[in-house]
Amino acid sequence: MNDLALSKEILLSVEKPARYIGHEVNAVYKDPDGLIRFAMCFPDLYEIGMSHLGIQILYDMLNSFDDVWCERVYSVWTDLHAIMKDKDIPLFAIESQDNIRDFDFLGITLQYEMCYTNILQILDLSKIPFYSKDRTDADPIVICGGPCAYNPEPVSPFFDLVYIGEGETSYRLLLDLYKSCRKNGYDRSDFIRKAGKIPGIYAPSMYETSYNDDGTIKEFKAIYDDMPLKIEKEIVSDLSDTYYPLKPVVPYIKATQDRVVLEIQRGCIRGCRFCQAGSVYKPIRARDEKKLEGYAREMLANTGHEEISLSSLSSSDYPALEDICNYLIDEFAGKHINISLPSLRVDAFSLDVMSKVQDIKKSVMTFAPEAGSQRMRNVINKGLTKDDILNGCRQAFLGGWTRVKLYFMLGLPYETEDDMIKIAELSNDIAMLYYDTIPKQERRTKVSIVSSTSFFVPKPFTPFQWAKMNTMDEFRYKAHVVNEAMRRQLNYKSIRYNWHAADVSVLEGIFARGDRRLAKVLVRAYEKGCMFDAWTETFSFEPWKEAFEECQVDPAFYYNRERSYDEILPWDFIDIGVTKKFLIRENENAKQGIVTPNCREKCSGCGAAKYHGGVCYES
Amino acid sequence: MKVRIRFSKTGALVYISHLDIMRYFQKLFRRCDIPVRYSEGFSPHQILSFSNPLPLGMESTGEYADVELTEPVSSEEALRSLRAQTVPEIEIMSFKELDASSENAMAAVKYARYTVKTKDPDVCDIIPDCIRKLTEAENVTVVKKTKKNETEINIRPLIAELAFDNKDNIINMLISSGSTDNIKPELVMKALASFANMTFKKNDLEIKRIDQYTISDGRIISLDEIGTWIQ
Repeated sequence: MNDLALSKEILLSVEKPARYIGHEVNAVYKDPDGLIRFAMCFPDLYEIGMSHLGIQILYDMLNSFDDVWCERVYSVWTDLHAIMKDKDIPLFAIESQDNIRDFDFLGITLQYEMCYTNILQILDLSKIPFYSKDRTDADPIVICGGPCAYNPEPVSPFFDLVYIGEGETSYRLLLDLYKSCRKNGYDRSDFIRKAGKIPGIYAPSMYETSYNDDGTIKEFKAIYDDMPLKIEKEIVSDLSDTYYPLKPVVPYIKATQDRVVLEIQRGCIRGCRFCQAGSVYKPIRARDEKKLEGYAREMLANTGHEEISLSSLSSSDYPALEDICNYLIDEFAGKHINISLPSLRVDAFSLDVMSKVQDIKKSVMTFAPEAGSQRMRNVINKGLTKDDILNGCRQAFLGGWTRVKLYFMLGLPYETEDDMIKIAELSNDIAMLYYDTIPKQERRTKVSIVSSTSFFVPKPFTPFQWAKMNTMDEFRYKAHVVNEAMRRQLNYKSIRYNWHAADVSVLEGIFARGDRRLAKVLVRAYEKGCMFDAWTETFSFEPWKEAFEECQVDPAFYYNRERSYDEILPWDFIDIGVTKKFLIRENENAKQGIVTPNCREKCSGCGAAKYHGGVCYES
Repeated sequence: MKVRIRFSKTGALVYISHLDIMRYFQKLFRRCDIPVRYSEGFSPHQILSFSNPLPLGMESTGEYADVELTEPVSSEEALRSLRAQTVPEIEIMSFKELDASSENAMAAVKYARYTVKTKDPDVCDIIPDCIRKLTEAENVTVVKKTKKNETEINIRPLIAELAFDNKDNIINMLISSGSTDNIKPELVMKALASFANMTFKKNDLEIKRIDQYTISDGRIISLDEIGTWIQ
């Protein structure tokens, strides 16, 4: 076993040293001689990163290649960060404890915008230059992927390559190219240029952007004629026949997801107009139910986890949901294994299943109406009516549930004050329904409704990608309107109302639809100490404000401005299958509150059919 | 059936906390299909308990876990599957049946053996003399710090053995441990140093727990000797 990169003295002085030592069950150790060294990074704490299925899939896939050793690296918490800076200790991979800078590849997943400064921490501690243009042959190839890579521009100057789409398909080609380039007198920029022609791979340094006087993009063009002008996303067309991590690493410390995760399908048939995941993962593709049964057995045996959870954007749309649920219950419920079934629509079937796997007295029934009024739910194409919600709640109350959680958004396009007030009214109606449904003598306890609102952030590749996002003051006013309306409700004592922080939402909004000119703001913010911005205990808005001012970048240009349909958007060079024409049509439908049917009801011709898979080809 | 498992904890795993070691064993038992008994109630948990927690950063070759089974498993079979599933830094050393009436490991512990290795050659020179002085003394009073206050205690009766191996520069001590007269090896080292009017730097000492003991018929015996091999 290798020695640890950190001394005993340091490890005993930091919070949870287990984050940095590896040696977990199912961690992969190889003899590094002659292998391509790949460091896979989730730029947040170990406990968060270890819970991510995507990284587990890629770790498993890359280590299944005989010529690669893939290891893991995570952000180091602020306590160790200070020590490593002070003592000049370079960042290391968890398995070998070798310096990240000595690796061939550093892969970073971009799961949310608020981890962007953590990318800079990883590079900084690894002693790798922030900007791709400043790197030499002594540095690894730094590549990113994940949902935020669908608009990589704000961080693209930090990356040599960007992988757009699902990771299972193009890595082998990339590694083969790397090997052949290594054999024939390696030249970094030559490799990057060639890699930029592999399907799904974007090489930011091979492109440049020019701007109009008003700040909008004038032209995005390739520096060399042979570079592709459109990068098409990669997807796995047959999910039943691909990699699945049957021996996931088992952390010693409790990860956020301390359980076996079974991805039953990828993509979503519902065209919610605010949802980026629903758009970029189109078309929906299901995994074979019989295969999933085998995965569940093997993964539980290989990890010893005491819980298994289904994962998908909307589990109720999985065609074999009843079969898989019944299988899990029959096979495992008697073996002290908890079964968790998130994102289920509330109906007779799901209530029956849930009553078998949970303690009803303790569990909370969750609904995401997203908007309070039917008008607004039609605007966002959330195919859920008030009757659906009330019927679901009635059945839940009759089944013994007394706690309901409701999720809403504020600041959606075309929103009126009445839509906001309806959030409070719907919360009240549900509380009222409990008292109408359950006779007084049968009530165990009071009903408890927890309503939460988050602030809407327009995302690329959604029908709302052109929308003007609200300012912090507007958000705070809207939360105030809802809060006041809650107080006026008859059952307000049974309702608790929470709202998210407006400043983090605005920052997320800036970077979600940003361009390359934001990279310097990120560097400045990092230099001012911004890190772990997704964590309330470490987030501070003030240094961000200063960073924008010092870089002379106006945040409002990025978030508080409506774009016209003919403006060139920073992510226009990416082709996700879903066409701009479709997104425009959907935005126009939104304005008029016209509901678009889901993929199984009727094809709306979004464009994803060109991937020749999934729901588009179900007969 | 009540079973006692002896295990070691070495290498990088010294940074895994006591609580996480418990979680480790719960998952290990499930990977091995060991028929562990679960508690009753709505959130059942494995009936599993451990001996005196090992401080973070310390290696040990004498850790104990007691677990209840719903049906018997032979020691050989259990060891084979546990050893196939465990990480190298946690070695499963034995798997033995306990009498239904026997005390659990935590309550049974009365003594623990530690070795202390020091890197400082000057310290090695003075240690034999300090050990002699301490052993001859009737009263060795040291200040014991607890979370709330400091108390003076005489540790001399709590030291059963104290020796120095000058070949490997290792101090070997058998001292009181457990829920009543628990003392830490660091405290003994502090007392030793005081005979030479000096103090040890904490990081210069490499302390390892060798084993934990109980008292049976007036004899100090290893917790490992309480159980019996399961055929």
